[in-house]
Amino acid sequence: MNVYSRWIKRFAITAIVIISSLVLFNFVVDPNGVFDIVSIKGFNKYKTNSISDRITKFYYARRFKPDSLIIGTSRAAFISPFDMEKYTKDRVYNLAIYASNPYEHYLHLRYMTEFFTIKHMILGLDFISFISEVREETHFKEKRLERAVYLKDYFDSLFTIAAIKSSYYTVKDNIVKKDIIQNDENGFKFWKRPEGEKDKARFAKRSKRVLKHFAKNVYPSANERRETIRKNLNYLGMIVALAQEKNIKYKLYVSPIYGELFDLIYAVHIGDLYEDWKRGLAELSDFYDFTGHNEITDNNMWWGDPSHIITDGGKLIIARIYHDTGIPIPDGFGVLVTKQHVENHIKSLRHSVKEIDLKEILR
Amino acid sequence: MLFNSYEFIFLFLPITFFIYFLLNRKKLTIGSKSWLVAASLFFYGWWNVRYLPLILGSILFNYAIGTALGRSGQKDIKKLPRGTRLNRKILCAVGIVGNVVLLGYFKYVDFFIANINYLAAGRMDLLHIVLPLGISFFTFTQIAFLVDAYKGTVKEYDLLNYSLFVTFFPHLIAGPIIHHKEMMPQFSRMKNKVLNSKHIATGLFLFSVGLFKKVAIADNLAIWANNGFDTAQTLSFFEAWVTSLSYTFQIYFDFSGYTDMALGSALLFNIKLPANFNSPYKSLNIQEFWRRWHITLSRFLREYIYIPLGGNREGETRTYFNLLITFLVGGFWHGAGWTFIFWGFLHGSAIVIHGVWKKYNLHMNRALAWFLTFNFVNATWVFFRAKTWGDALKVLKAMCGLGEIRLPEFLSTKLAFLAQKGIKFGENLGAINAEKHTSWMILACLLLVILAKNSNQVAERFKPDWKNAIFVGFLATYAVFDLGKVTQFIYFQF
Repeated sequence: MNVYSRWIKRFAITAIVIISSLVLFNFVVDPNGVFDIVSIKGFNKYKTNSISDRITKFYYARRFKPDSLIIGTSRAAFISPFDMEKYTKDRVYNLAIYASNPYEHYLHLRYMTEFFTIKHMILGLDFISFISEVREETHFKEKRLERAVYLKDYFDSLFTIAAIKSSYYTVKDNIVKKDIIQNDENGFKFWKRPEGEKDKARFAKRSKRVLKHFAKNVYPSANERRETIRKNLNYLGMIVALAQEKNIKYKLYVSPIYGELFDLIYAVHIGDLYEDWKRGLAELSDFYDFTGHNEITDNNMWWGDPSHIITDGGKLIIARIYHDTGIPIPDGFGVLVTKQHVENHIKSLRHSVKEIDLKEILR
Repeated sequence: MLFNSYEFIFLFLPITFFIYFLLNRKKLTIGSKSWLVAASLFFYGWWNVRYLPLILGSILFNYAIGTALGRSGQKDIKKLPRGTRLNRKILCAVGIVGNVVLLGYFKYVDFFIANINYLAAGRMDLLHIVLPLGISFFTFTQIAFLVDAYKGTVKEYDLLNYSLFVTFFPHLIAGPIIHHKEMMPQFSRMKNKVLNSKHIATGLFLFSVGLFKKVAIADNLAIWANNGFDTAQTLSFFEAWVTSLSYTFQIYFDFSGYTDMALGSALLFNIKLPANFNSPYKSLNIQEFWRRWHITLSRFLREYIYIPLGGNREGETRTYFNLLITFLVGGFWHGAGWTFIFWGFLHGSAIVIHGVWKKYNLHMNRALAWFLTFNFVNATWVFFRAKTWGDALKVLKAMCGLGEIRLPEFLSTKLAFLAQKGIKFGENLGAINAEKHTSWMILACLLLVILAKNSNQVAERFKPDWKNAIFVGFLATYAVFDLGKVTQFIYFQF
């Protein structure tokens, strides 16, 4: 064997050994929860570093075989399925995904109803999800939601640098972290109540960043996305129709946002568009509206950031939707909106808008 | 099919390789060549099978004209009767025009419609034609063949060899732009039909390095370049520099990575493709840059545009004019847009200025010469990359300090006095979503391109030992694991 042949052999052995070891490592740790071969506490039980919730939640949901679903964006992701189970008395899975939109919600519902008998559904609605298109870079794949087996997910969980990193951090987190507060089995992620000055300072910092981002990038783009809103309302109509066809007891609600973020909508002059969106919702179905000013939306202790209410807030949302009088809920937090009185509701919300200093937010 | 895809690396390349050498081993040389042509067409059709007839038609058209030119020009061309010479000229012109029309239709028709609409306030609809992959490359390759057939320098007119010369998959999509003189003899050489472990080892080395350059370096730089050019509304001083430098290094590692893979995979078949890069960012002047960057395109433009225009034979002014025209054509070849033409104009102008500089025998400090050349190239890439004039100006203005200058927050106390001069402190590089390692990566790229040997230099003196076997094995493995985010090569769009 000449030196070049020997080199080729060594090269091949190196590549094969490294590839096989890493693939085996990824397969066992399973950072995205795709294979579910072993689940060991202190090793890989919690998928803290999944490359995307879209993948992890999808595979866990399939294995969970839910009777009921929570669907929506990241704003609904912190609602506890355990809170909902109290009312539905069945197996609830939280399939809410960050940066998703009604089209993706529709595909999720269609997929789940194809394989399981879904009895209840709560759908969280957000204005920003209606001005968004689905984005491939967020690991959204139509094909995943159209077929029983989507090979790319298996491949991505074994053969990528991202999977290796995720596996490594998954093991590290599972070993080191003692207070992991997520339950992949039913899709629940917990956002705890801010405590003490440190949490308040963190909220203030986050709040500044989020408000600026919404004022600069998110809300102003809405004006150019009227067609997207129309398309997404259409998908919402398809969700409602599918739910009715499958006899699913569904509840829709507009997610709460922090008071200042609500005022910002009017400060950047997209109030009319926002109100039209709510009119569009009311045309399709009754819904609960948690936006506006009230004791919850004006108190930063209920918020992870101005766009995300904490899990305790989610408990109130569920309680309002299921008419639980045993849990005290502040007035104005969660108003049932119907086609008949949507105008009055919008009018009263508009009256409650406070003036904010846009320049200061954008600074 | 992409070189940086699982299907190419684990299926197409090994299958093509083994069957090719199996057929050769059984002395079925025509079969092995036919297999390579069929595999190359499959490689091309993988992208869009509808464009296969296009490339096949183009091959047959050029082969027919080339053969006719060859048949009528076997003797000394100058001794041919006048009528024959005229017929040959017409035939050659028909061939070239045919190629240019094909390229023009697919690549430039929307550009012309848009400009006519603008000038004449017209409302002609754009055709939105999908650009067939590699059309700029296989058209140029075949134009060169026709011109050489006209000049009587083509020695071989075998359809199978010609088809293989045009379609051979390593160069088909994005070059190098090859010349029949350097390819046809290689396809016929008998010793190229047997496995050559030296070529295989060097080929694997080049392919692995190229793959790593593409997926581990270029694709990561692309994130910041794309954010800066396409997503960010405004850029600060540092963001703009990171954006432009990211692209400068991205295009080099992307294209030279592609070329390494092309050279490497061709070498597996005992075919040596011409080098396309020779550490271009080490250049000390713009002329040197063009001798080191996309060498085969420069060669084509020199031989088939600059020299036919008169080259440097008709006086100084005419030489400069010819250079400028050549670079404008080069710019336009890259893309149907005014920003590409302007990029070509800037480089052509720089070449002219360099020519004047050389004429007066002026000298410059080497470090300064490198600095000016590199920054000129970096700044002009902005026009090459930007989708609109607005995007280009956004980046360039901010690079010149005409936008916001923001320093990292941790310097706010130490350099507080700068706040009075309008310099801000806070989130730095946020608009391009840069990460902690971004600046380090750009610095590492800079050091790599100016200090390290390039892959061709290493390949030429490739000494196989266990250390580099493991190192290259590691590079290949890393790159294979990074294939998940499959991205196209920049030059696929040209």
